[in-house]
Amino acid sequence: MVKQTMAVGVLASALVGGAVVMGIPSGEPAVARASEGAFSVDPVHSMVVFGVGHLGVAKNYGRFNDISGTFNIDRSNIENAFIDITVQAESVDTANESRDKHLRSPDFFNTRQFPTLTFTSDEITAMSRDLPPSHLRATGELTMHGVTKDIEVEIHFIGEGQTPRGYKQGFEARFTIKRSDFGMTKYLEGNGIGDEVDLIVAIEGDRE
Amino acid sequence: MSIELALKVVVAPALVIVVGLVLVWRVWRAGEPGWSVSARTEASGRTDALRQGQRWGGASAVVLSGVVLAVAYALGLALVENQMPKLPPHVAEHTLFWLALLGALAGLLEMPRALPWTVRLLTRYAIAAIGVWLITRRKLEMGAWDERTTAIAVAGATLGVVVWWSVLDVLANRVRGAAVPVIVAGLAGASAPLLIFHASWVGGGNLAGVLGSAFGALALIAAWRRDVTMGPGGAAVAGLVFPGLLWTAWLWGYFDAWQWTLLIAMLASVLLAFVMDLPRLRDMPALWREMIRVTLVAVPATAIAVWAVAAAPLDEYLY
Repeated sequence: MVKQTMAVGVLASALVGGAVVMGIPSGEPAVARASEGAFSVDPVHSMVVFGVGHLGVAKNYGRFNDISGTFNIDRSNIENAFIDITVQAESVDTANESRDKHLRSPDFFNTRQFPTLTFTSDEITAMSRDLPPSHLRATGELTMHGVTKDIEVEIHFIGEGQTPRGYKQGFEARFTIKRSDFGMTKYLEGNGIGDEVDLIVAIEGDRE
Repeated sequence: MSIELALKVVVAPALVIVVGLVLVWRVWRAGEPGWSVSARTEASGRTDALRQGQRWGGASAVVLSGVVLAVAYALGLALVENQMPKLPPHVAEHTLFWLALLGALAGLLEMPRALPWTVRLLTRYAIAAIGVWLITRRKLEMGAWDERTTAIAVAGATLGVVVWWSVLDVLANRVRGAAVPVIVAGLAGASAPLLIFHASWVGGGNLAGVLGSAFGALALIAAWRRDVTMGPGGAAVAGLVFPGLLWTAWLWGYFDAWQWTLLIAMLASVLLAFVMDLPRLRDMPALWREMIRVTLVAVPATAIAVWAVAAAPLDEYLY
């Protein structure tokens, strides 16, 4: 099992920021409402961002533009909570077309052989004592580059409620993985490209 | 290329070749126990290489050249990939590790037996098909191809591999000295810029570099001792690994069709080496003949490689 390190703490996420700017109610007023059913990932307002060391002197960031899946952070009935997210590896975007092509190649994500990255939770439990809990822990399987590993990530519940665009829910997870655990071993020599990859998974979903 | 990568791609395979071949060609002498194969292979028509081998290393050394080349390539691949490939391979390119070892096995199978050509070709087809299937199988697993498409692709690609392997084998059996290893090393090296700059697959370029380094080291030894030969094992290793690499790049890399065509043209350029066997050219002094033979193959391959570097995207080096 891959032990994950994770930045704990409340984050001023893009989800909340966006909600405030648009005058959409933030999570607080709605948190008392019980969740029902699953939420489908809103690909426009969901982000999977990664950061990795470059030459040991800096950090480079990128994102995946094609995210899908379903989830329900059902905090009042936590045993029913689940996350099932799929990312299309081909949608990697680092604002440099040549680098993106390289990242898609067999040197890195090998997207033609392994087109998707997936995370499927096995269990979600409360971490914080507040009710309903705002911090949760999800254990599950992360599949990347064709390798599946059990991981543990901390979930920060952002909010849930009726919005002008329907009933929504959102959460964020920040965690770190080692790409070598998933068989991505190129450019590790000389610290060319770091082994540890920081991930920010910020998800917004629409009730199905 | 960092020093560490250069050690993996260039130095390590070359070192295995130099140490391995010197040991093999010095230790195994004709008539020593273990590989009493000369009499039987004489019947198979592989007389030139064996007669050469008997002067210094013996017939068994010819057989073991393929094993040394396979070990050098397999080691280089494991170093470049930073991991030991599994079976079945997790990623298609790791199949090249097993293809190299299969090449050594094919060399061992072919050398001591007086096999008819039909059986020899069928054996090659069966061995090549294993490798091509391992490279291709994920298309079927992912549902990208149905069974019929996969079968046709594997059959067709295997045929291409066997043709190239057989051409190389004929050439290696016909031409002594460094010429054929130089041709293999040159073709492998020349393919690297296309793989790196146009398929954005640096690892693929490195794997071509490992092949180039191994056969380049063999060429140096063969230039020093003209009785050293790559043998059928060496032809099998190169005959399987190089087209296997290109098939992997085509299936799983980001090649355009015309870039793929250039690589196939590069493979096909090996046929130009046979020009020097035309009756009027046979009487040419041996050294000149072999130099022109190598040049004929090198010119189109070098032209493609130079173009590949010149036409590389301008920001290719920026990341």
